[in-house]
Parts: sequence; C-alpha cells; structure tokens
Amino acid sequence: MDLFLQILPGLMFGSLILAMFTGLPVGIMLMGVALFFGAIALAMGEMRFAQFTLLPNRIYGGTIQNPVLVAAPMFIFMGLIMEKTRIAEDLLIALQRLMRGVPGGLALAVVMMGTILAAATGIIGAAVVMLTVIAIPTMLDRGYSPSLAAGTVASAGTLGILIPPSVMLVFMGDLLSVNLAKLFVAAFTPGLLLAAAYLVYIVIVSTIRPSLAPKSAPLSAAEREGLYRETFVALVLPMLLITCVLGSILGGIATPTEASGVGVAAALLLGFVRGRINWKAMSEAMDGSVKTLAMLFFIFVGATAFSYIFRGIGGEEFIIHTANSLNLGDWGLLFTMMLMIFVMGFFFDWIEITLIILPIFAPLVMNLDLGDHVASADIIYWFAVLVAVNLQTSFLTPPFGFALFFLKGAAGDRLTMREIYTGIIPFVLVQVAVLGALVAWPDIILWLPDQILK
Amino acid sequence: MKKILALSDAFAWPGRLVAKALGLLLWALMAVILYDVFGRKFFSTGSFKLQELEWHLHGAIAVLGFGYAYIQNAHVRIDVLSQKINKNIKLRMEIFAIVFCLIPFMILLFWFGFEFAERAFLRNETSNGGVGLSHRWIIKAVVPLCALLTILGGISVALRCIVALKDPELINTRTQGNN
Repeated sequence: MDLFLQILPGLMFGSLILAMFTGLPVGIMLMGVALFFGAIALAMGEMRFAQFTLLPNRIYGGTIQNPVLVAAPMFIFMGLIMEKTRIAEDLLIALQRLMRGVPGGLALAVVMMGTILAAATGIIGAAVVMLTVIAIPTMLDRGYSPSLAAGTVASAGTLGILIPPSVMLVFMGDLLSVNLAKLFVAAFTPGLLLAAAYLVYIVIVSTIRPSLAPKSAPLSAAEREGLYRETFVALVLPMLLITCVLGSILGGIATPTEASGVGVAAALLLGFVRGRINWKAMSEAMDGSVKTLAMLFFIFVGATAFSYIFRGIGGEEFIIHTANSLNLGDWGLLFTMMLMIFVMGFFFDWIEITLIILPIFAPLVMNLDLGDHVASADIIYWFAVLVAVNLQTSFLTPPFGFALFFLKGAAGDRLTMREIYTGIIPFVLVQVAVLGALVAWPDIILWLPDQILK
Repeated sequence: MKKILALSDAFAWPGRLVAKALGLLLWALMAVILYDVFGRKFFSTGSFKLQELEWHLHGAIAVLGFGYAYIQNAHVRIDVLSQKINKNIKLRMEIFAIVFCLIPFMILLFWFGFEFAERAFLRNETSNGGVGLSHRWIIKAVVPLCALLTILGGISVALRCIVALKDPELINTRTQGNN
C-alpha cells in the first residue's frame, strides 16, 4: 500500500500522457485525470474533501485575478486584427518586391517577415499556414528550390513563439513567477540571433548554388509605379507598430499589459489607414480571439486542477525524489529536462508543455546550481529561453515536428514531405548550434536585461 | 433524430450569445487599458480601480468561452495517434469523456464556485485594502457561470455526437456541423 502511494504521482502523470493521445480535447482529459486521482486520494485519505472545495479559489487566483495574463487576450487580438485586415500579407509582398535583386531575396523576405510579425503569430500552426499560403506559391513560381522554400517558411513561421511579444512567454512568465518584461528582453537577443543565422545561411547557400534561388528580373517600369508609397505604407507602418510595442516594453516605459492594449489600438489604426476595417474582418478577429483564448484557458483550468491534485498526492516530492535518485548532477538534470521537452515537442504544442510540464519541472529548475556559469537568480530566465528555443527546434525536427505537418497541409501538392524534410535539416542544424551557444554562453540571454533593466 | 439535433442547437445558443458578448469585451478591455495608460502618462488620472477593471474583463473573456469553443471544435486535441481510430468509436469516446470527465468536473466547479461567489456576496467583499473595485462577488460569480456554460456546451456536443452515431447523413447535410 505504501508503495502504491509512493508511485501514485507517477501513475497520475502516466495516465495523463496516455489520455492525451486519445485525441479527445486535452483540457477534458486533464479534468478527467484530476477527478479520478482526486477520488483515489480522497479514498486513501491522502487529501480531505475540504481541500477540493478550494478549487474555485485556485482557478480564480490563477486565471482571473491575474494582472500578468491580461496581456494575452490583447496580443492575440492584435495579431488577429493584423491578419484579418491583411496588413501582414501586404508586409510580405512589399518585402519581396524590395528584396528581388538580392541572392535568395524572396527567402530573406520571408525570414524578415517572420521576425517582424512574430508579434502577430502566437499560435505556431496559424503562423506557418499564413506564411505558406502567402509565400510558397510566389517562391516556387520564381524557380526557388522547394526544399529551400519549405525550410525557410517553417523556421520563420515558428520564430513567433520566441520573439516577444510572444503569448507563450506571457504564460511562461506567469507559471514560473518571473518578471515578464525581463523575460521578454531576455528572449529578444536569441530571437534576433536565430533570425540572423537563417539570413546568413540563405545568403551563403544561394550565392554558392544560385540555381536554388534564382534572382528575379528587376521590376519593370509599370511595377515601379507607386512603389515607394506602397512600400512605405505596407512596410514602415507595421514596423513602426511593432517597434512601438516592443520598444516601450524593452525600454521599460510600459508594462507588457499596457503595451498590449496600445498595440491593439495601433493595429486598428493601421487597418483604418489601409481602409480595411469592415464588419466582416472585425467580427472574424473577435470570434477568432474568443476561441483561441477559450482554448488556452480551458487547458489552463484543467492544468490548474491537475497540478492541484498532483501536488496533493505528493507529486512535487515524487519529481524531486526521482530526479535525485537518478543521480545526474545539475548539468545532467538540465540536459534530461531539455531532452524530455524536445521529445514532447513532437507531440504536444507549446500550450500543453508550458501549462502542464513546466510547473512540474519548476521546483527542479529552482534548485539547479550551476556554480559560476549562471547566477542562481538568473537561472530561471535562462532556462525559460532555452526551453523556448528548444521547443521551436523540436517543432521543426523531422519526422514528427508538427510545424512541418502544418506546412504540408497548407501547401498541398506543391511540396512533397521529402522536400520539406531535406529543406528543414540545415535550419535544424542552425537551431541546434544556436541552442548550444545559448547553453555555453548564458550572457547572450542575460546581458541585455542587465543593461536595460538596471 | 431531428429533434435531438434541435435540442443540441438549443443547448448551444447561450454559449454562442455569450461568445458574441466576449468579443465586444475585447474592445472594452482595450479602451480601459488606453484610458489607464494615457491618463497616467499625461493627466495623472490612472488608478488602481482601472487596473482591477482590466483583469476583471480579462477574467471574463478568458473563462466564459469554454462551451462555445467546444461547440466550434476549437479545443486542442492531440490526434497524431488517434487518426486511425474508427469514427464511431471516436464518437463514443467523446460522449464518454463528456459524461464522465467534463460534466462531473464542471458540476463540482459549479457547486464549489457558487459557494465561493455566495460567500463574497454575503460578506460584501471588496478588493484587498479597499482601494479597488467593490462588489467582488460579480467577478467571482464568473466561476460558476463558466461551469454552467461549459456544461451546456458539453451537452450540445454530446447530443450532436449521438445524432452522428445514429444518423450520420443528417449531420453531413448540415454545413455547420463540426463533429
């Protein structure tokens, strides 16, 4: 009986993993597993009934009375407004026209678009699909190698989970109880570093093998008509919006919440400038936001219940005890956690990993002691950014990386799975190199926050 | 079967109605944040009350759309392994999950949440320190309301699953069916 109690948390976690693979909604599975193991805990005398009545308090305190999470609805709404008013689309078209003369210009435009518009793309699938639909046909029509096109779109489309203001970082910041502005700043340099590494790779490969990315003909006179004005409106205005939102957070002028509200207003203003605000676009943006938020917070509520019961039956000690008995040392533990997150990234979106796995790992991370390598106060920021880059890599890694499936789904017959797999490998190597650099030199992550937020 | 489908629609409409309202609350949240930010930066009017209102609005938007999202099949599913499962088995599993996981959980949440909000009402709770908004029970009542709307949405989806099991044609002829 004692043994049963000891392994109960392990059973609970295992049941959840199994339940999630049934294809039923993840939130409902979390609630079901919580109910079932809650009943066992009650029957075994591990928890008292009065503890269950505190569940609304947990949900209220975690999801509702939570000033940090206020940024989430606003950033999602901002992104959807920019998508539905086709500001994002215009931006890519303008970038592609500008970059036509440069080797690999169209691919470079996609990466820049992914970087600039990371704000508008909280959900991986949506971002990859949007880039695929807009960019893949143009690139293929102009004779780009399908592999290069696929690799570029998948990696640029997943940058959004890392580059602030990313919705994932909002949730991570909340669950790890860290300063959100600092986390945003910490993720900024690695995000830019990745984008820069993609750009360098594309320029090199298209210079060495120009057949992969043929240069387009220069713009004809007819195409030049109104080019500067169009470029200005399509390119400069959205960049201004992103710079204002990001800049005010990075500069410490506004909290992420304040910046998110102002961001929505600015996205609306852009829509007005372009004459794209109409009832259909707005109601689609509203409906899409309500659904995305419900999807996120449904899992949040389920995960709250799950981790409440999990802690109640001694889950925290179970995890720490298991980790200690493995005797991996601090570095070994870090790599094990990273490996687990990488593998889970094949099957789960960042939503499940951030909301379910991260709280389970949090006590282990807090206890990590890496000596002089990272100051203990900063470990949690460093770890969060490593997780983000790690997850992005996982989403791109064949054969399971699910950004690749979204790419295939949206591209249809234009791309084969084989072309996607061969195209993504160089980008995965870039990811791994950057991840290695971030592990080896934590200052890449921690230097900027130190400079700005002192 | 047509009657069951009509019943499913009847259970769906409160969720749909609330979702429309939540869409409008997004604008309200934006407006409150703008008023708060510009007021504080330029007219030193920003206040603790406004910031409380911000998370009140956020909280309502965050949890009241669960049922609607379920009706619209917007909840995350991990279907890498389950794609090959027979469609009828999937429908039965869905009904099982709704009846034995979702609804019991939400009934508990409704029950405890109701007491939670009732306590706030009876004690006339206000914000900590009393500088924020009063009538804390209004936002606390969002918890049982969330549970209720989710139950309605769950029943609606379960009924539609039953129809899909017994009379698949009927679901196929309707364009809006998601399940």
